[in-house]
Amino acid sequence: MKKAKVLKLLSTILAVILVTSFVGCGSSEPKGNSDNNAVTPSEWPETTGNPGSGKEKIVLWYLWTGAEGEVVESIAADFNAQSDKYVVEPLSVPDLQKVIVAISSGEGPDITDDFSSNVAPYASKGIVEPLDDYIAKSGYDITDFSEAAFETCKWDGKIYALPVAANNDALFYNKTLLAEAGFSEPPETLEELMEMAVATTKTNSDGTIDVLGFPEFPGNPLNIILTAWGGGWLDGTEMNADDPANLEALKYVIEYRKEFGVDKVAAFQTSGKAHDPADPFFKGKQVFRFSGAWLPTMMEKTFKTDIDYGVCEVPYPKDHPEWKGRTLINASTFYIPSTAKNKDGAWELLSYICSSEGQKKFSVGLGSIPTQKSLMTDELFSQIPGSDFFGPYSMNENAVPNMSIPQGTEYSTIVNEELELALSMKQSPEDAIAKIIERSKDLAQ
Amino acid sequence: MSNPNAGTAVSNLRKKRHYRKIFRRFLAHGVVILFCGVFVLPFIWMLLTSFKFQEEIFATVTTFFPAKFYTRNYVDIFIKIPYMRYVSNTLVISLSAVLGQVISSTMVAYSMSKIEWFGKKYFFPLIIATMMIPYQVTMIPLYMIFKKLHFTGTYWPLILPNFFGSAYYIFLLRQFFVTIPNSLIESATLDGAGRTRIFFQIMIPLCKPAITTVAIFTFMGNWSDFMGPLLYLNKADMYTISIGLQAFVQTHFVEWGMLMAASVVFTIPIIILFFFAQRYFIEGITITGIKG
Amino acid sequence: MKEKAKQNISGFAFALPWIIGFLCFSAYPIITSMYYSFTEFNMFQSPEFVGLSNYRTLFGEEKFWKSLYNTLYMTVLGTPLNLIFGLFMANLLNKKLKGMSIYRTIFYMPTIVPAVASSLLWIWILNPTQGLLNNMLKTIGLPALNWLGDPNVTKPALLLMGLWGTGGIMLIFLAALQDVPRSLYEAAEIDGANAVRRFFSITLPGISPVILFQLIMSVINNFQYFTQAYLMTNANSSGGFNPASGGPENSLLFYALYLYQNAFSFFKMGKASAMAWILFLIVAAVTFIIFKTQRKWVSYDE
Repeated sequence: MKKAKVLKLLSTILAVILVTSFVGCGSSEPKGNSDNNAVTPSEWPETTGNPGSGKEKIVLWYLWTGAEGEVVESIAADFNAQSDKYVVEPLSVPDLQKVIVAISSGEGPDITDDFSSNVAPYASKGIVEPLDDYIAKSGYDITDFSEAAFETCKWDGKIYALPVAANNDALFYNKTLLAEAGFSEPPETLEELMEMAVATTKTNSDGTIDVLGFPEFPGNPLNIILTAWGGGWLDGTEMNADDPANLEALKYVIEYRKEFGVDKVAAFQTSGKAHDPADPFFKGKQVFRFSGAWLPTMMEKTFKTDIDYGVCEVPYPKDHPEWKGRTLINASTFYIPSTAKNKDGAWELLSYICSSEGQKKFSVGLGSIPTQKSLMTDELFSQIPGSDFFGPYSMNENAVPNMSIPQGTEYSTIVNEELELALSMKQSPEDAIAKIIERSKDLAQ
Repeated sequence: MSNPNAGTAVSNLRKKRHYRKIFRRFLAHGVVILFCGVFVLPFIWMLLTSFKFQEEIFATVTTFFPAKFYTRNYVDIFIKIPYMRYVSNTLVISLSAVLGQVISSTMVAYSMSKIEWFGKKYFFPLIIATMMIPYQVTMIPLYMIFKKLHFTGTYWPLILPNFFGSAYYIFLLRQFFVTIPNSLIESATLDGAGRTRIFFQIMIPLCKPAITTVAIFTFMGNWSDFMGPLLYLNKADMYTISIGLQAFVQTHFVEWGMLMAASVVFTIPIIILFFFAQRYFIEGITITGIKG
Repeated sequence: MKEKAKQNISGFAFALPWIIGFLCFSAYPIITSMYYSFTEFNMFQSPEFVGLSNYRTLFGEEKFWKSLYNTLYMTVLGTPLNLIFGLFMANLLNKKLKGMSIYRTIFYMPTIVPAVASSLLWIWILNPTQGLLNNMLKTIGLPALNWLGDPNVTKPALLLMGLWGTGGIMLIFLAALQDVPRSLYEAAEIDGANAVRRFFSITLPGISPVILFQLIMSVINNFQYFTQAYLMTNANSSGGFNPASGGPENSLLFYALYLYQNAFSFFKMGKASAMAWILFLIVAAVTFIIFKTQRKWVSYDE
């Protein structure tokens, strides 16, 4: 009897809690105000700084972790040391889901990083703060940025991010393996590349590839070859799948697979362990390799490999020497979400990170190539292996900015799916390109 | 009547049975060990990798045993990341979660099994139904609820829901509860026990293995939860171990030796917990005449 | 009358934790996600009502059906595999042999290994030329397949990986086996029933409520199969921040993975929500059918 009474009391109390919490929970509606494009949270708490220091807080979220993350932390510490007004609170956030959910709910950071490929997708949804006004007001010098890298940060006529590193691919080659086959110089043209690749490939008795000639590892080199051929899936911000150069490039890459067997190439691709001490290129089992500016640092500092390698520009087609040096530039960028609570502070930090001072620290720490022309000096080159080549290469007149479009992710998914079938010869190159055009028709805004 | 040979025949038979028993036991051991071996192979590989130099890990001729035991990895992981800090954070979350889950899920499971009330028919299917919706689509609204409650940036979103039962554990415990004979409950009721008494004195003691399982699973689930802590925690010193492990996965390569060492250390508390919990798996939960 | 009221109050009181939790933490998100499924919602701007458009688009998409097929494959093959294997192992480990606690711990260990480590581990094990699996297969004369590259064998590879992680299933079955009264076994043994007979006539019925649980949970979980595929296809690109792909020719594009892509890669939360509710209907239907059959094979209250 007593127990029932106690239970009744308990349930009433709990019911009261239930009701009050329901009222609290129930007041939130589906996100978004109907009038404007950008997300505006219903309440913006004051920027409270550290009560002790009285400085305003800037929340920085970055995708790097561990040792790489520490580079960002030390840049933040440098900023704190030289700023009277602001203090940065950096946080390593290894998964994009958190960034998206937080920004969506109005609790995002003040400044964060991402690749330039996300500029248009994010900006078109109103979650990125345009920087034009900040640049104008503070008189920030944007002429020092490499044009190609800076272009990637624009969308629809406005600047949405600043580039802190330029990423593109060059041709790495194993001098010893080339010499064994009688080649003393790396290829200049794509035709020479194929010739050397075929000549230097070594197969086992069962047909499996022992030494891979063509740069088909870690992945296929199609997009790089495509660019070198004058083509591209985008021409600026227009979809460009029907460019005849794309078809030429696709057929060219398939040539090698026809020669040595699609399944053998596939087997090599899946068995190889990329970016480890057992990487085929590090072990002298791969003659040519397309890779980025970070590879020399990895080979020389991290894994201390001992192969005799060289780096050169991606070859150009024999008939079009005017495209020498044509390479696709992607940038690592920092941007300010439109829901940032401390935009002024974020701008201060952003301009610091992307200034020469910040970029130098960033590049040396991560082995990447900065986007400031004024940093292309011997002092920098001596600290980052391979940068004496990659630096100027990323800024050469034929460097093409890899622009982003709002449906960029969907577009590349479609492209990759159809290309996969073409490269494994399950559909013809012509069909693949036709399908890409067909499927991406509806993506155009 | 008594056959002189009968005695030897009987003892021979006894001997045969004895040997057969030993053989069977040997076979059982053998099979278990064989499977164990296969099961534990990846784990052993993980353990051995944690003792290798970065360079040795993927040598062309894969060495199974490390050329020499490089224990530095185990030291480095505590230097590179605030491992112990993460451990204590994760412990706080996991242990609170276990407490909450054991209390709440057993309660709800009881109401879904041995109490005949109007809600049983309606709530049980609803409970199961909530498990059928992928978390990706409820993530954002749920985040907003916690934001309204000002719980983001704290441990509350990770701990609190455990005090309200989880469909998975409720379902599990309910299936165990229903196997308890009604006759037992009836006789207790006749003796004057109320439903609460029955809960504490019959349901819980008889389902110790199941409740222990729930405790282990809850602990483990929270111990290795990655998305939850990442989503709701906004300060690095509040982070948990799962997030901490990401420190060894860099942009272009993985720091295998340290990742494996960190993973080995990651599993130790759970193994200890599991060992201790084994007690509750001991059979012979006897109640005269009915069970055991 | 009074008794019934008491029962109702008790029932309600004991169920209160879940009821409160549901109202506070589940109801709103669930209803909201249903609302989203009828909208176009990129998570940053207001959702735009589009009626059944998402559903119509999905049913016309090849990838939708492919992802459903992949998931059904895992569910239909994986569920019985995992349950049978888990039960088999639990049975083995139910004996009173010395060192049983150690054996049980070993079998449970794979589940303890953190997901990031175990997926990287398995990518290595499944490596076509240097991995453990193919080396073992070669020594016993079986073909060494391209587990990660050939779209025909990528799912079987994941099934194998799944078997390795059945520690949890085994544990639950172990707990259930403990609950079957010894007296029943002893009586049967005296009656002359052999081990197999005892298993089918005593063990199985005795643990049938738990088998039901495992079956339903396995179906529900397999239909939402995500984490392994996400980590494997993500990690296969040598670390870094790559959006989860679907593996070779989308052979590993599972329903939940495609849902994730729609939500977080393509910013189509509306479409993803529609996917979630389609899945819900399918799973609810299957579960309902399983529950309906339980009268035939599940024995409660001996």
